[in-house]
Amino acid sequence: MEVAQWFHGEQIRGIIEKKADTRNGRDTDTLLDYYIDRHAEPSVQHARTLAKTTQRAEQMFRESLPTTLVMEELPEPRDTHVLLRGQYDQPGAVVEPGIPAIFTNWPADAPRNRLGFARWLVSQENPLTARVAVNRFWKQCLGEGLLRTLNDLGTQGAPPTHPELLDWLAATFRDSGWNIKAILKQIVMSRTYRQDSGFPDAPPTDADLLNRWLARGPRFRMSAEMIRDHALAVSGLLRPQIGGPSVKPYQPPGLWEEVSYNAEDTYVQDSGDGLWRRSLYTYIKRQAPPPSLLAFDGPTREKCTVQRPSTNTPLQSLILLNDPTYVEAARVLATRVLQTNFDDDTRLRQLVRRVLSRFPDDHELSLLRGLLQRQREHFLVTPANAKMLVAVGEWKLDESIEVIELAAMTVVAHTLLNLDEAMTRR
Amino acid sequence: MIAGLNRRHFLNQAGLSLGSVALASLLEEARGGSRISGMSNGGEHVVHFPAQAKRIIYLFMHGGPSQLDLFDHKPGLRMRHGEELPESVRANQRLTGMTSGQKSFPVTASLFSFAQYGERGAWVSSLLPETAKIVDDLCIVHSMHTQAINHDPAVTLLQTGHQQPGRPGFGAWASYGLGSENRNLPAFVVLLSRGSAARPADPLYARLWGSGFLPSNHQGVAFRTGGDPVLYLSNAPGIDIATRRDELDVLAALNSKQASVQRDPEIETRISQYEMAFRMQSSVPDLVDLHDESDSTFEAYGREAREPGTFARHCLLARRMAERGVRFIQLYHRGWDQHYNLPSDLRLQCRDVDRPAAALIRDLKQRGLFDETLVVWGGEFGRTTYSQGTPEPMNYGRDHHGRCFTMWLAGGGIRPGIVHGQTDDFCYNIVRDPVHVHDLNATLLHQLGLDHTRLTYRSQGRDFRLTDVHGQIVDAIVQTRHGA
Repeated sequence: MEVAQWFHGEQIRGIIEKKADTRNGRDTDTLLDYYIDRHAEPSVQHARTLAKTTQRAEQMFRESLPTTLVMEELPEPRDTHVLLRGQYDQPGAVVEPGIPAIFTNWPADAPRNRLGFARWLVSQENPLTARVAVNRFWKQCLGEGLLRTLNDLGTQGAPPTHPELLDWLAATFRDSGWNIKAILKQIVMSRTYRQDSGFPDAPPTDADLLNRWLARGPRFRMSAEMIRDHALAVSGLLRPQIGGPSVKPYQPPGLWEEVSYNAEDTYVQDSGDGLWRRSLYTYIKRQAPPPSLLAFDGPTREKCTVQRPSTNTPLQSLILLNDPTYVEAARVLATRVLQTNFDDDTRLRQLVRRVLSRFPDDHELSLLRGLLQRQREHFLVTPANAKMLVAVGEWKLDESIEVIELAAMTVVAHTLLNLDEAMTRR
Repeated sequence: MIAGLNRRHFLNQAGLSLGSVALASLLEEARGGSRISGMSNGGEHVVHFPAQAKRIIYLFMHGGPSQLDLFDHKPGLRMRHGEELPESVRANQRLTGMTSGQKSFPVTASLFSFAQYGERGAWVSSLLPETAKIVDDLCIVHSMHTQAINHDPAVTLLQTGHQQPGRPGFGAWASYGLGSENRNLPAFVVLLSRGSAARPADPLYARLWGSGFLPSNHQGVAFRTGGDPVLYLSNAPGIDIATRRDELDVLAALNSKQASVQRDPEIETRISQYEMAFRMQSSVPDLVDLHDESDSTFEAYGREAREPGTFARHCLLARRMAERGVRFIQLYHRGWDQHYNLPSDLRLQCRDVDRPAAALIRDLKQRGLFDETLVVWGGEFGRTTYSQGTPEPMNYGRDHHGRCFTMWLAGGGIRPGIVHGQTDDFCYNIVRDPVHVHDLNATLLHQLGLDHTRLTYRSQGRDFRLTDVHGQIVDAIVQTRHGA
């Protein structure tokens, strides 16, 4: 204490001995503190404390705000060269910012920089941006674009199947003030979108098996993210929270250690809500991306991927069969229908309704009833299995439900989640 | 098959250009059909010549093994040891950031003794005594070269044909081009092992066995050491085989019902894939269960083969995969980056791989698999003739060197017992028969029966190849076919 006081005294003496114009801001501040602390009126002392507290609060607030990098034009743009054969040390002709010569309508008043480019992108005279965008929205909803080469609307790309529709959608989208929600709503409410995708009566010589002319509804396997989100959503596990840092849901241990430098990175799985957020929020380490993402054609994020392939593999089956994500979702689904007072058939019907958005027919119902009954009997003789099955996942077990019942219904729900229909948009 | 839809329709629908035999064969295999040979696009042959190798076992020494201390014997360096590397040799070439600041580049001779082996007297260092015994089966290439100077770009170039990430690796191309030979196992399998070197191993990237822009069924499946050998292979807790079978049967019945309504061949494929997943649940454990291997086998591969996760174990597993028809078996052995403490660390790394690699070759020969299996040994680049840092009497390190390095190939129609290419007296530049990474890949594809200029996949508006726009088949290392 004495040492601190002595040191403080010496510090003040040092500042006082400096010439006033050589003192820095911190010196002045320290001196002012010293003076007010010992010689000022209490009201001044109080005001000083208040000011300091407020300043600190402001600083803490500012530090809590997320920061992002913003690009700005240099006052004097640097020369940019064509690099001969791509070699960084072989500069060729100087080039200026601009757009390919085939596009002529750079707005007259727009500067020759990124701002000008942005204005050109969305200008009324430029139909391309809106066309590219609505084509991708269409693909999101209907599985294929109106123009099937999503990333190439130029001369090397495929021609659109419905050019007038594409243009109309593009113009509507642009004129709506680029309202994505409105255009998506328009698409999914269309008669085209709402058509049935089955064609039991079509002749085997159907001229449009690939449905280019959209006489039937779309069908396609859902994306990696959608398949997981769907299981979480129908079970009610999905956490609706928007935004925030990435989360780390279930993943087999050891995947990061296998590839990282000196095996020193570890995936620390979340607990609670982080397990059940939309897949959009799943943490992606490019060096070792989540295996369930990769197996369902999710990209590694190393290259821009406009169009993902859609495969159908045994590894996908293994994931949907054995990943705790789906076993847990099945248990939660089973819990929901068992919490009601209905009979077996009604519960099974509810289950199907939740997963497939339709009711089962009699044949399907009898298949499910059989499965439920056999599994009930099976778990009666293997009660330890039932216990293990319902313990998968972190979601709290409903103790009021009989374990054998829950396990048997979990198997039924799990079967439904594994149906082709559950992962396919039809 | 559902009326009106056949395999070609499916391929077209999948948006694939050139005859996608892999997908086609996946369908065929899943249906229990026979393997498709060659490539076809609606009856028209696109790629077609007789394959000399049915599969590749790639022993990848990750980090860059020192060719100077293992295969490329330069006795003249003893005389020059400690002297400055002449400017005329280095010729201002680009160095890595790890040695570009060095003022001195002292020539550093290998500490290890070399001797000649086999009928043609190939030089092999004392670090690889078992490899030395099989040189008559090997084609040792001294003249490999790459333009990459750091690990990630160099590995990515060697395996995907491009330094920037995003393209499929060799195994994925092989799976795409040739499909699977086995109904119950993936076509492309990856095995990772850590080296014994004291220096931490450089990172690897899962994308190296990813499928890039190819469909994800061509992804490599990394077999794991702890837990399930394949991710999610074991049934969830509480699901026994009876429950699983019941579930799959009901699943198949429900799916089939949909298939009859929807007439979508994808549903039939899905049913088959669930059945394949079920079969994998027994075929994969059977593959990795080594109880039926004899003591003499374990003796041959080394006692480490009894420990899961070792390179020795993986060589033995590679042979079992070859027997079962896995198309591309990719081993990674990490820790070959000897920037310092090369003598001690390289000795440890060599001890990991020497015996098992030699045992693998012998084992394949014994079982009649050698001729149809191409084995590749090597890393992403070599190491410098000069020391990184100041060399001590018994210790030195070497930096990355892409201008020349050594790999060996064996089996699968590769000429045995030869040494290809030659480097200069300093082991710095190549003086005869250079083999670029693309040339190697073109040659490997050729052995598999694939023309590297015609095995393409369209992505982002253009056709991509494993060899990009390069690659010359190295005729000198390939056996001439009878009647060819």
